[in-house]
Order: sequence, then C-alpha cells, then structure tokens
Amino acid sequence: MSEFGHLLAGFSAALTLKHLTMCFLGVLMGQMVGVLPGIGPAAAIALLLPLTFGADPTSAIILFAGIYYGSQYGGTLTSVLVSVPGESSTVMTTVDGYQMALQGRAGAALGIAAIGSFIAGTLGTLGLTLLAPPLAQAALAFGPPEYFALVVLGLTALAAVGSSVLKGLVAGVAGLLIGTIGIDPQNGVARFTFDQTWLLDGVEFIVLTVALFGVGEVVASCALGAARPVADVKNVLPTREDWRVSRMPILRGSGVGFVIGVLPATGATIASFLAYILEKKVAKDPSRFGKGAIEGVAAPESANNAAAAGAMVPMLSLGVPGSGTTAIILGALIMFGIRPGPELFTKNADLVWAVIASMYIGNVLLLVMNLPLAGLFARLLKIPYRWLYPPILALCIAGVYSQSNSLQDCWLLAAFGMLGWLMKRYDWSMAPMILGLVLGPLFESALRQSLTLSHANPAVFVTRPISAVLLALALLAVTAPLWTRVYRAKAV
Amino acid sequence: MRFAFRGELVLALFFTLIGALWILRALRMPLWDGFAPDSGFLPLVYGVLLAALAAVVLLQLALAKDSSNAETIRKPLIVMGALIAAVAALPIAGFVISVFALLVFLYAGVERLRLLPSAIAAAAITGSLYLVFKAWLGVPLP
Repeated sequence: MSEFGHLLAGFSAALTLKHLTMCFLGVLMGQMVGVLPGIGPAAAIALLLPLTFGADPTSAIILFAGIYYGSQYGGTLTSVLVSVPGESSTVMTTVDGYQMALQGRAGAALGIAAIGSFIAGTLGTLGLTLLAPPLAQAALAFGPPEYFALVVLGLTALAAVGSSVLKGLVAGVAGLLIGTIGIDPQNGVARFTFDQTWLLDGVEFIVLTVALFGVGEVVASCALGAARPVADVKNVLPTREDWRVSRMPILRGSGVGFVIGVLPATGATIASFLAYILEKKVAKDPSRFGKGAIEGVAAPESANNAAAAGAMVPMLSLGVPGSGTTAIILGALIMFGIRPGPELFTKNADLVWAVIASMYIGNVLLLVMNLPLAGLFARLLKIPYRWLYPPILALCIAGVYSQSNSLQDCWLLAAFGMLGWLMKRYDWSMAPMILGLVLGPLFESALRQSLTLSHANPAVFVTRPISAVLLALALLAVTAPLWTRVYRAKAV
Repeated sequence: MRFAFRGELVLALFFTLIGALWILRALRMPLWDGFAPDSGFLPLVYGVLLAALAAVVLLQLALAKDSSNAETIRKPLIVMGALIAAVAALPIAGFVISVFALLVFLYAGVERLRLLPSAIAAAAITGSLYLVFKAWLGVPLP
C-alpha cells in the first residue's frame, strides 16, 4: 500500500468516535497545560500514563500527541497576555506579542498565532507523512551495531537540548544506570536490588516519569506567586493588512521549524528563535521588531508548531526523540509493548498512520477552538497556582500506586520526586534520564549482540557506515556547544 | 555561600557517589563472557561515566563564583515533607484519609487558604480520585 493509501486508512481509524474523542481531549488538555503555570506537556503526559495503562495504545498515543502539539498553541496565550512564556518554545512570541497586547491588539496577535500554527502544523504533518516512511524504510537495514549507535545518538542529542550538555549527559547515564536495577534479561542475574525483592522488576518507567515530571516540577513551581493581570482579548480575526504582512513569515517559519524539528538535538525552542531572527533579517524595517510587529508573532509561532510535527519524524521512524515530551511518548510506546524505531512503520502501521492522521484533525480542532475561544482559555490564566498543585500531587500518588498496587513505588515516587525537584531547580535536564531508563535494555542487548557477531571487536561500530555516521552525529551533538564557543570567541 | 549554590553541589555529589556505588557493586559481578559483556560490564561502564561526569560538574561548581539567587526553599521543602508524610501514612490510614489530610494541609496550612473551602476542595479531589481509580479502574487502593 502506498503512503497515500496508508494515510487514508489512518484517517478512517482516526475518525472513529473513540479516537476522535481522544484527539479532542488531547488537544484540549494540551491547550490547557500550555496555558496553566507550572505544568507542561511532559508533566501532563506523565500524569496520564497510569490512566492509560492497559488501554488501547492507538488511542493513548493519539491523546499524548494531541497534548504535545496542542501545548504549543496554549503557550502562546501566556506569552501574549501576561508576557510569561507558557513553554520555552514561545519565548520569542513574548517579545512582540506582549507589545501588541499593550497596544490593545492581543486578539490580533492570538488570531495570527492560531492561523500560523494551523498552517505550520498542517504543513509539518504533511512533511512527516512524506519523510518518515522512507526514512524508516532505509533504517530497516539496521543491525545491532546501528541500534547501539542510534541509542547513543538519541541520548547525546537529548542531552544537548538542555542548558548544559554535561549535566544532560549525567542525567542520561543516570537513567541508563537506573535501568540496570532488577533482573538482567540476558542471564537472569539480579543486579543492584540491594536484597529487596520488590526491586527485582526494576524501576518502572511510569514511576520515574511521574516522579520527575509530576512531583519534581510541581514542588519546584509551588513557590509561584499569585495570578498576574491578564490583557483583554478582542477581535481575534486578523485584518487584511495583518494577513498580508504575516503570510510569508508563516511559510518561512513553517519551513525553518520543520527542518529544525527533524534534526536531533534541536527542537521547537531553537526553531522559534531562528524563525524570529530570519524575519528580522529579511524585514524592510527591522526596527519594528520588539515593538509589536505581527511578523514577530507569526514566524516563531509557525516555527514551533512545524517543529513539533518535525520532531515526530525521528521519533516515529528511528526511535530517536528530539525533545523531553517525545522521549516520554517513546517510553509510552515501549510501555504498551511496541518497539519504537524503523520497524514501527511495518509492524504497527495502523497505529502510526492513525496518529499521523489525528495530527491533521487535531490541528483543525485547535484552529476551531482558538479563534472563538481564545478569550475563554485566557481566563485559565487567572487561576492561582496554589489551587492547582495539591491535586496534581494527589494524582501522582494515586497514579503511581495504581501501576502495580505497590507502596514501595510510592516511596520511589517521593525519592525520585526529590531528585526531580533539585534537577528542575538547578536546570538539569530530566528527559535524558527517562530516555536512558527506556532505552537501556535495547542499548545493552544491541551491545552484546554486536560484540558477539564481531567476536568482541569494537571496530564493528565504526566500520559499518550507518553506525559510524550515527556515532559521528552523536559526537557532533556533544561537541557542538564547544565549537560554538570557539567560533564566538574568534568572532569577538 | 547560600543554599541555592550548595544544593547544586549536593546534587552533583549525589550523582558522583551513586556512580561510585555502581562501580563497587559491578566489580563483584562477572564482567565478560566469551565474546560479549556479562552482567557487570555495562553497570561498571555506567558507574565510571556517571562518577566522572558528575565529578567534572562538581569541580566546575566548586571553582565557580556563587551567582545563585536567594530564592526561598522553605515552601518546596514543606510540600516535599508533606508528600513523604502522606506516603508514610498510606499503609496505616489508607488512601482516602492520607490524601485528604495532605490536601487540607497544603491548602490550609501551606497556602493559608480558609479551612472550609480547603476542606471542600480536598474532599472533592479525594472523592474524584477515589471514584476514578477505585470505582472506574478497579485499583485496590490502600
């Protein structure tokens, strides 16, 4: 069946009442967590993991994907209305968006952001439809050395996304290390259980994810102050002039966002920065930027949505997540017994194409929700965080306990929650730790199989071209900040 | 030196020590079997990597100037303590009482909200969680 045929089949699955409901709930929740302070899409997905355990994987992944790209829309509201980016990828929107709000044009800023996000999200999903299947097809030739190199690339790329590559690497290795707790699947030996039988099954992905992204984020954010004054939202439909000025920035932002999103170690935040800089460079009057230029809202908003779709390309076709949220979605796939990576498009084609089709539908739903309901969502900004975090903590306890009816898991929740709080507080990236735990078993089996095949010759990882390229990319991801520093020093 | 700065040192030291613990434990396991690594090999590698990388962070922090802000940690510590107390109370008091008490404490004690709205919110949240997890998902909550 061609890609078009697969996509049609995906639409017929995504348009069933069950999946349509999940898609709607996903984008609605994404929109809400994008607006609400102290909780992001990663935390929202983490909190929902226990509720979806044992459910239909396609419905659950449609829900999670909806939260992921829906949050990009929601983050815009806080950027424009209170000058606080809801997500790191909406930082650039704050610059001109808030100025527009001060000039009484908050509605126009939100309207153009919604339309730009819709166009970019749809174009990005189209790119995903066209690019992911051939990439996965090419990757079907992967053997154990390539899988080994792929995990190395995934971990280093995700480590490079955070504020410090070194701290990201520490988190990634710590995740791999936590993954060694329990029974060694190769020979049945108990490792690092410290004579505790309940540790024989190891540390569950849900427990670590809920602890780091649920408890850690909540405790780190509980000192947030009262809700800020919110600008009024009127006239969300852009004028003809707004549209004329914004259409090219939307298209350029979509292109930049998708390409950046596809690349490992980049993501929506960098995409929005680059799109903003590009618009400022090509503008006839760059001095307007920072003073309420609508292009300064249209371009980064389009870029971050296209990047969210672009980041699904390596996640679905190679099993390499480009962001913390996609790392959790990847973990969810494994939780459902689905092996992420090149085989996903052949062995779980129904799921993948239903998710891709749901992304087209989700973008339409988000546009419909955002244009008339922007003012309604803006009211969520008035909810003080002090009312929100206690139920999140209670949900963390119930969710983690329900995973395997284990009180010990609740103690792990508290311990890893403490660790997550400290990591969040000191800006240590937590996503690599999750990815390390999730990919640890694949990494270990790929290493063992590779060395067995090569009779313990480690050169197997660099003599096979794909593996060598992937490892070179991993090295590039780790050393990129160093090169950037050297380049900047020379430029000065 | 403020806590904010020392706290990150503690975090880096924690990872260094965990790395060292993994090295010591892994060395007691078989490392190599034929052509492939055995149970202790990768944990040893991870331990060495974690200890080394975290030690570099530790060194960087020790040599850096204290540029941290004096953000309060009292409230996060109280919230964390309340969570630990609720987890400890689960096997004794059960899910409903432990979670209800946690919520009332956070709303009324930590956030200084009035007792009645706090109790109503806590009851509504606890009840909703009980219904979802016990009645709907069939989880045998403690």
